[in-house]
Amino acid sequence: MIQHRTNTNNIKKSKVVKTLLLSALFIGGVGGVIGLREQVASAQTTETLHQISKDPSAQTHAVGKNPENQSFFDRYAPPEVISSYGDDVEWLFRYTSWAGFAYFLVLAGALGWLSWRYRDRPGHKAHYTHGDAKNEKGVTLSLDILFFLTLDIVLVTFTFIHAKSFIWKLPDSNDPKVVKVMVMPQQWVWNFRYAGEDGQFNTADDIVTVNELVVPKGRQVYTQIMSRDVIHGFFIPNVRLQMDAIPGVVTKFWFDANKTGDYEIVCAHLCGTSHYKMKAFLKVLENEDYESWYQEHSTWAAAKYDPEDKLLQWGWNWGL
Amino acid sequence: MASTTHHSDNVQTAHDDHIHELPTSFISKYIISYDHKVIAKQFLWFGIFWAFIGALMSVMIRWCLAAPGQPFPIIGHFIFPHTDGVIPPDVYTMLFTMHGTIMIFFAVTPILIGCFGNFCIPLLIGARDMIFPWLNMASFWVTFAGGVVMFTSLFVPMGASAVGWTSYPTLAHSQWSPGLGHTLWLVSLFLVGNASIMGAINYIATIIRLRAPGMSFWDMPLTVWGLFLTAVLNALFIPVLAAGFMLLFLDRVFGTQFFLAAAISQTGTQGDPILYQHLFWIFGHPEVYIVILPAWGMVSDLLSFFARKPAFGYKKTALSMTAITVLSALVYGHHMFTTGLSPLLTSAFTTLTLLISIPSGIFFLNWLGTIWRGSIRFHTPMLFALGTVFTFGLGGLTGLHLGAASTNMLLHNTYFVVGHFHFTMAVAALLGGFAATYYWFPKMFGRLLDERMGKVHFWFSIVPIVFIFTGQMVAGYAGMHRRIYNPYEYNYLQDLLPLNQYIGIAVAIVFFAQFLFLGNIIYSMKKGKVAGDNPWEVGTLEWTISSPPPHYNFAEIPVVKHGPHEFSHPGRSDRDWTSQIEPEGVLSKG
Repeated sequence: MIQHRTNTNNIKKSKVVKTLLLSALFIGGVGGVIGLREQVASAQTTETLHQISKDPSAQTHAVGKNPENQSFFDRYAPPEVISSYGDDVEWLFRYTSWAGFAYFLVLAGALGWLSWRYRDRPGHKAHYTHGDAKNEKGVTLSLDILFFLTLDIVLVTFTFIHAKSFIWKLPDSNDPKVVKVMVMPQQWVWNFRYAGEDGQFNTADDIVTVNELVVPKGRQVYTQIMSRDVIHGFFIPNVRLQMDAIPGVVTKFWFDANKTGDYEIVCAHLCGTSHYKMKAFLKVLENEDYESWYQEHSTWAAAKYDPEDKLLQWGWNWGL
Repeated sequence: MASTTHHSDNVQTAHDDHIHELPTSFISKYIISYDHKVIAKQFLWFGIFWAFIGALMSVMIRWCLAAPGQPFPIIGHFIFPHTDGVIPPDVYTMLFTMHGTIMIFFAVTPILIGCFGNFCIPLLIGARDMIFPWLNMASFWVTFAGGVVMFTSLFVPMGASAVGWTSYPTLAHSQWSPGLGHTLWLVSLFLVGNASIMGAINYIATIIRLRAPGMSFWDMPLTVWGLFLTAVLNALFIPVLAAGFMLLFLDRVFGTQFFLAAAISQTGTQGDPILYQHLFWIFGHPEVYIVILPAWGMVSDLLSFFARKPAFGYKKTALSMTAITVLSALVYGHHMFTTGLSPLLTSAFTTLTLLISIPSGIFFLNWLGTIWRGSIRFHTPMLFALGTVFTFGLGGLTGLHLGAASTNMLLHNTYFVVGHFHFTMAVAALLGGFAATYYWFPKMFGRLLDERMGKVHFWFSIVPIVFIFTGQMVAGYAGMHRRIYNPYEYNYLQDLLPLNQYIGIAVAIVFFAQFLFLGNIIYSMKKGKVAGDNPWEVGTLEWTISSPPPHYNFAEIPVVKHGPHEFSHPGRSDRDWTSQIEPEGVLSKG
């Protein structure tokens, strides 16, 4: 039989001392290790950033976060939103997080408080109930319904709104203002294809870029995505949504960018050993700059076209 | 309340049918044993062995993220001599693949379902053994064979499987992951899957047929409810997984094209890699519940046992778990929002997924209701049970982000997902498993685990664990995607280095804390405090017999008169608990 109650003061005292010692050891140990690590960490961060600054291509694309004097929230904030719908997604994320956090505080607080308040101690006896009384059932059910209304219903409603207003509201392919791009990732490269002057894909005048997607500011970009080999994930963190690239299946996705600059495109889906290095850049230009870029590359496209190079001749029927 | 029904005669005959002699030789006693208690221990050692391998892998994974390009301490130079102890990227890919596989199929499943399913079901329902003892033994040895194959696959040329535990084609095809590693991975999991089906059939049949006379479904401890629902899910959905693996195996070995897309840039002509994802996730989502349902059941019981109070809303808890079991089969599409599911499916799966929060909310509130106005004894099993409640709350609430399609398409494949599913199916299941181990260890071995070591183990586990996976969710929201060897390739992830280092430290603390547990087990098996029949003062059937239980458990099949949670009944003053087999008269209506 093990001891269920602390009977004598002696045991109680030694228990308290032991607990205090143990927690001091724990806190001190963790604190010490973190402090030590912080020094190493800051040294290492500087080193990594130093290495990057030696790489000229990385320098031009640097996002420009200042590692010094960052607050916690700056340091761990996601990259800035550049798409028109990014703020909607972000809002829903924050709503869910804060509401969830509030409920978590209530639930964890209740867990902690109830554990403390109803701890076993001399003279205290548990209340006999199976939780079937009317008021007990009522409290449980109404809390559950409150939870459902404030979180689930909101989430479902906003998902429906988002699906209708942007996720599945694909741009009109015939609108000349819409930039149409075919995206074909392969291990571990991103290929992008623009239709060129004739507006047809997979022809000699197509503009084909590798690891660089150039788009104009403020116009819708309509991408059709298919993988050449394994499944990849087309994810621009600044845009806030992602779409898989699947071999044999064309997936459709659109975004827009409201701020010029260079942003990173990552492969979100495991695609092999060098998955972690499979990145491309999104270059957002002013509309005029984009048009001149497009003109310039169209003229080069025909000259660069090699009918023998079958690997570069990819593309599919755009459809509607 | 308990009622004796006419089926008790059948039960008695079913019990008597398969009584074997007490085995005497070492082999028949400990190796090829039919005894559910021995098989449970076999599963326990098997699971603990693999859990340590899986945990070591997670330490190596976190090392890569916390100290990129630096040699892994102590053992690095022995394992990776060609890179001066630095973990190379291809090995990193193998590490997270095997970490996921091992932890799910070789650690949590054997411990929670294999060990405690086997140990608890007959003892808690008053049976002498499983209904199919031979099948039970086969289930362990097929799992063991699967373990041998998986262990072998770590050492074959070109390395172990490196395609993620989800094994998505076409990466899982031999063109993109050549070598024997992934083929053996498929074979191994096919074996383990079959073993799970054997176990599931056994559990379902045992619970339906061998309940002691007087024990209706509503008199079963919630542990048995959890294990029963898990077994149902296993029996229904592991065959789907096995089918998917079989087709992938045919693709890899015999050149079929079930999941292989046709030539480049042609659509809709041959196999379809998305078909695999449907097969995988129609199993994969229930798998989350397969792993967590036993823990839910155990926690529901333990909260009542240590709060000395009947389980709050027992029937509602059991029905909520049943509702989740049903819903779990209907929500798998939320793993596939980014594959371009149609708008109808996107909306439908979002709605169905979020419906799960209704039953989850009910039993979560019932847990709080159970400790409300209780008289809580904070023994180690109770601490771990409360820890499970806490972490499951965190995991459940962060599931909302991933159930809704639009935030899912932001967070999919980021560390937010990693943090979320670790809280729900890894941490909650793990802590539930610890709670169960601390609680039933005295019944298994006749000695109690050391309380003080257990409490230190608890605090050194839960604090860093909460930090690790909260930190991972922060990293995920900051945009860090999964399964990357070096996040610092990306400019926007540069700032996450310190966070990943803190997580690395926390992982190391948790890892070393588990040696306390291991040490506790080894120490207490020989030198622990002798438990006696009923150290926790609980009324369920396993505590009415000696610890460890005798061969064939119950000399006489017990007749059940009370529910499992009759604590602090106002009608009796001698003690605050009532055994399920005590005569009905002990509780005068109060």
